[in-house]
Amino acid sequence: MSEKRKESCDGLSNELVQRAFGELSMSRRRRLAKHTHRCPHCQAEYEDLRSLAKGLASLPHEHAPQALLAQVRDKTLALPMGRRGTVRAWVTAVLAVVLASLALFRFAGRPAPTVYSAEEIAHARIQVEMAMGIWGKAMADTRSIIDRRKPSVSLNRSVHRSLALALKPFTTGE
Amino acid sequence: MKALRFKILLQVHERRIFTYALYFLGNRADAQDACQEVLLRVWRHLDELQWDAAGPWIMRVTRNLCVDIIRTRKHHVALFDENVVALNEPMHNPAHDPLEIAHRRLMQEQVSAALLRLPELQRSAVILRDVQDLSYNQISAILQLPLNSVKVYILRGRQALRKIICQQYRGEMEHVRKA
Repeated sequence: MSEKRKESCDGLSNELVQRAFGELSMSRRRRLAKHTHRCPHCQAEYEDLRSLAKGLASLPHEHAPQALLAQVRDKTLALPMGRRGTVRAWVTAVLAVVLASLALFRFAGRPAPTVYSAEEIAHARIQVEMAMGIWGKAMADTRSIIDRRKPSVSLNRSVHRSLALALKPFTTGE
Repeated sequence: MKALRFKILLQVHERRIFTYALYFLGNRADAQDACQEVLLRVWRHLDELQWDAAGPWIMRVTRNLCVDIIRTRKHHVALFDENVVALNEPMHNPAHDPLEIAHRRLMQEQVSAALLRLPELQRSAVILRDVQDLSYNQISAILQLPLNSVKVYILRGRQALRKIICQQYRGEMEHVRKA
């Protein structure tokens, strides 16, 4: 490794570095080559720099140890839930989509639900009221149905039964 | 989704982070600490990280962490071991001349030891350019310096490295002569 060089060569120091690291333009490289042929100091410096460039380029690129990467994976998964909120939101969204799709497939092709008339709904309500023991309400509802109908129209069987059941406590004298 | 992004970034940048830390710090244990901390920071900031800006950001964080480690280590000079970088090239490669391999290994050891004697910015710039083969523009983005300053740091760093290696060589020759 040489270090001595002529004072007259000082201006070429930067160009020698650039040439050794392959960053000098062709024209400047030719001019510098002419000089280094005549000047052993610059030639020696160029060779030093060239071997330095090779040495730097040959330094091995190393992977991080696998144990370290595994440790990082463990630590990232163990972070507080707030950090993992995005993941949770994504999982929830995907689950919701899956459930919605399943429901769509399950009910697709079935007949539309039956539409009940107001009277049928009123009958059902009376039965529920009676089952729950709300006798006064059941009676009032039954009466309103009867009042709405003409006397000539016979009540259907369920209304009869409802009425009979509703009036039972009163007719038996309780 | 986040885990997948992290995995990709890890695969792309893990080697570059570790290599930079290893040659910047010259110490395998410190390089591992730095690498681990960088990867954890990447995970923490993953939501804010843009794909195209991730590379320079990661290397900037790596460099800052390495500088912090060196600053805290200044009080513990005994830990600063220049020869700690182990070069893992196999010696018994039949395709290569053993003498040539030995010469290259010697050169690698000299260069990696000399790198540790450079000022911090020169060292960063030289490692990024001549070891990791990044462009001047990429280095400018990582170091957050103008392009011309980066060129000057790299030039000065290379010249300083040559001088350090020359001095080292001269010292070794004198030692041999005395023996």
